[in-house]
Amino acid sequence: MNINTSVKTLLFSLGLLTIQPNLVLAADPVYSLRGDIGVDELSEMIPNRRAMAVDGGISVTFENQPPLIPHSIDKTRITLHENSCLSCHSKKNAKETNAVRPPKSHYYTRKDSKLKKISTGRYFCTQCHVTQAYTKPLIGNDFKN
Amino acid sequence: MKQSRRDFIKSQAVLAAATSAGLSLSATQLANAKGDDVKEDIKWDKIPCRFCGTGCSVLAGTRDGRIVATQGDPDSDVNKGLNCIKGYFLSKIMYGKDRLTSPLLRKKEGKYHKEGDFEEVSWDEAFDVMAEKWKTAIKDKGPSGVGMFGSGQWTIWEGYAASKLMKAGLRTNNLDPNARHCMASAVGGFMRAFGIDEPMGSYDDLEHADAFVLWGANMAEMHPILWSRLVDTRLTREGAEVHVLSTYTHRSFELADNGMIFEPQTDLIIANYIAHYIIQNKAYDKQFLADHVNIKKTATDIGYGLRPEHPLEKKAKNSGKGKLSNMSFDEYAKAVSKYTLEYAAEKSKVPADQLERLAKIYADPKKKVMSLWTMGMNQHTRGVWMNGLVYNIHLLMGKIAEPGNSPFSLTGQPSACGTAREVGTFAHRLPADLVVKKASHRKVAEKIWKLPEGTINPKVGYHAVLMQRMLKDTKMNCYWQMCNNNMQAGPNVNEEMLPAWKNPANFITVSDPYPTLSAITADLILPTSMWAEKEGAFGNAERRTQFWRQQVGAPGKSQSDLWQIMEFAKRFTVEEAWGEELVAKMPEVKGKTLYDVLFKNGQVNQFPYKEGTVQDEEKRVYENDESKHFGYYVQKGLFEEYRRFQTEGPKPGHDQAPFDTYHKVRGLRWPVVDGKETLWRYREGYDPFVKKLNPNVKKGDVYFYGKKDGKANLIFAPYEPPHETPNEEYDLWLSTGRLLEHWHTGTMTNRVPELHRAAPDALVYMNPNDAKKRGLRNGAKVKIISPRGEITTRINVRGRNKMPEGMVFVPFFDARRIVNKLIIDATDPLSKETDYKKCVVKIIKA
Repeated sequence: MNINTSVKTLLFSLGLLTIQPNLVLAADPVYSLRGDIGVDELSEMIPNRRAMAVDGGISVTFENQPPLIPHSIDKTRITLHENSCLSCHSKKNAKETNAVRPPKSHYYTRKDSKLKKISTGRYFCTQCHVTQAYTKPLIGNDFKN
Repeated sequence: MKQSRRDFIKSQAVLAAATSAGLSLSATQLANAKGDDVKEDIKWDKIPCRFCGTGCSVLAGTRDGRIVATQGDPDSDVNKGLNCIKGYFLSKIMYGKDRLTSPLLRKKEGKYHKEGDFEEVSWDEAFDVMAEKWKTAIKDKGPSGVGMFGSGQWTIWEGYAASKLMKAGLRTNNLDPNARHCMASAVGGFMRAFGIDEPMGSYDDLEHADAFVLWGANMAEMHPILWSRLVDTRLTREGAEVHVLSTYTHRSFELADNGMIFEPQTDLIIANYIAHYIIQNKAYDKQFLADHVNIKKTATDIGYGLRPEHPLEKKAKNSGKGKLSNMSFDEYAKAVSKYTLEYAAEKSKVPADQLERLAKIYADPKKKVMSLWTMGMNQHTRGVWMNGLVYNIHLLMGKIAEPGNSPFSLTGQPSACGTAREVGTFAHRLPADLVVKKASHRKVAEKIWKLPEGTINPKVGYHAVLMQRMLKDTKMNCYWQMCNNNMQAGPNVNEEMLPAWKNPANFITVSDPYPTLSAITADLILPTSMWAEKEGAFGNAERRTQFWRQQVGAPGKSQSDLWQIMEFAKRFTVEEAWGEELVAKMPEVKGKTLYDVLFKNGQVNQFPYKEGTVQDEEKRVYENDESKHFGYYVQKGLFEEYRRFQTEGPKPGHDQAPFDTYHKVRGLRWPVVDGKETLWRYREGYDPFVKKLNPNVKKGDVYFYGKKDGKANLIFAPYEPPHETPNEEYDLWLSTGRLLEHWHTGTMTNRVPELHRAAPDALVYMNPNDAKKRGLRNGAKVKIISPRGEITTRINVRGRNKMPEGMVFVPFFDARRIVNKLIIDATDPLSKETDYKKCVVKIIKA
């Protein structure tokens, strides 16, 4: 079995060689997200980051994507006693602040009953909505909606 | 109220559009939202989330062979249409630009060479070289010369097939999952106390409990959807309260009525104090203890799972011992009486009134308490003990196995339960809680698998950390890693992992969709189909088994782990793998391959497959690449064979439903009997096995049928000190873990631009006073140094994690800052799970 397999492999590789010589001769280096820095080396220092501030919001990239937060939330507090996101974004306050209001989906209980106030199951806004730092992706993404 | 899926999707889109004034939604999105049929060619189907152990269901939208959108599944009991930020971006995880599309082998001058560069090779060449290396290693060292490191992210059948290949095929138990790093202590706790793995309760407890106690779990970030259910209960149920225990302040403290920061390792003291409080106040349930509980103590001074030559192991009297011995109630009461409130407060540094408030909640017979824990308790050199100490509290009070009274071990991976634990991919296990060291268990496996008697090796294999040591010491030479990234996630990268993989005697194979740190350190990389690119099944933390259909094809030459395992089995004849002596016991297998005897065995290949076999309820057809390739319905055959272990084995109560059922439902919680799932185990009225196994049981009473006498073990364990404590030179504790936006080593989430931008770097979270003492400000560049290695990053003194003085936290998602270079490979000596939550470091200006 060994002889047959290795002959087969040899023929196969030769075949490959004649059809696509570049494939075998000039292999691209394989990089991890560390780029050309080895696992055993120290990586480069990172810059200090700042949260994006985008007037009019950050475009969503697919249906029902939770909107990203287009401003810093360093001063925002969500605790048992306060939710400072809602001081701008609640249905009531958004009229004055012109902030994005939570959609209707946020006003239902787990058992589908309608609510007047935002669902307590959605109390911690940052589980779904996050800020964005000014930085490039580590690697491109081919997702298309 | 009931909406169809399509209606739901449309209405959700309309809502999103209507409320995102200011956000730019494309015309097609708006058109689709309004109900135009422009995008009606999008096919929506259910699929469990690829990330944590919560097991949310999502709807994946596909068009032209690609996932174009995902959203929360409204029909799922787990998440009711909601996702966390990672779950919402599942649509992008398969489309990172650097997907691997061909096997890559290190070569020099056209031949495999350990020091060579990666070159594209065919699958044939890849498996030729790999098989040759494996056969040489087996010839040199016997079956223990090879090993496989699998995953709690494998699908159920991938884990099952791997178990067959290694344990039945290659006759080695050197198979361990990365769940060893995350759940092994929980498993140890379950087996010792109840004799059956996994929680007795279910997520429904989140809506039934009056009080929640988090013992080393940051659910707000690690289990956001379960957290949202808990928050919902806390904010709507009169008198509900939340207690949070941790070694630093994290996001879950935002909801805490009683947030407690304790000194590392003193959770052992706190748990024993609570038991003492209950006994002292005579609050315990005497009848429950008499009827349902045996009291034991565990061997002490057991070491820290380090290499045997380490001074700490030499010093330990009972290194690695887990022996249990009987104890009377009075002896137990005396043993915990040392753990007074004053002692606990002094040692843990938690204010006494807060500890007492916690103890009172457990001791109040009217309060239903759900205890929840994850890595804080499991990644602990006394993790098994600690799991047991929490069960002790629940057993003392009889607060167990009923709605709301629930000690609940959460899992971190999508199928840590379904695959790693239930299928038995641990070095000591076989499917359905059977173990390799018991002859009667091996016999069951050999019968179901149609193997000659004596095939399965009785010797427990190398666990995750031991595999690295054995590779480094040249005792194991071939290693195949699938579906995880151990070079970034494993402990002590510099001293153990890297030298192990770079050892010239070893051949390392890594199967992955992306060039992870593991992949680029390997000798052979195998490109792997992921998630929606294959038909799959996961089992979540509440015993819920969920299936999905293959939604799209995989790029290039990618193949699933299942395909790889089954194809590799073709490379061995039974003579090569088993030896002539064993083959002689079953002459009909002579000359066959492992593939023939393990998979083409008349069972796994019994269900025919042709184009159109896999359909949903709307008769839409799905591909199944493995079944097409092998010519039969592979997943169904494997699952149905696996199910026999649940009913033909000696361990009752593991029953799952037939294969086809799971494709129609949003998962079912086992045991499933007559199509009905079980929400609470061990209690009459909820669990059908109670009456079946104990016909005399009283109505609504408990029967712990995992143990022969139907009683659970309450196991006393004392406080023992940690393996390392900060000293003059290394003056800080380091803990590592996750953040909300990333999952594990970030292989998927780092490649989603939105998730990367949400949390781009692993920073070191630090107390402002500690920073000041070192002349550092927020954002300063620092070097973190442990006795094992160093990394650089910036400090954060006011971020989401607020550290007490003397302790820092660095997450491990960032491939560019390998925090596990700093971590010591000290493990729980019983579970062999690494303690990632405490080691010593120092921090200097970089």
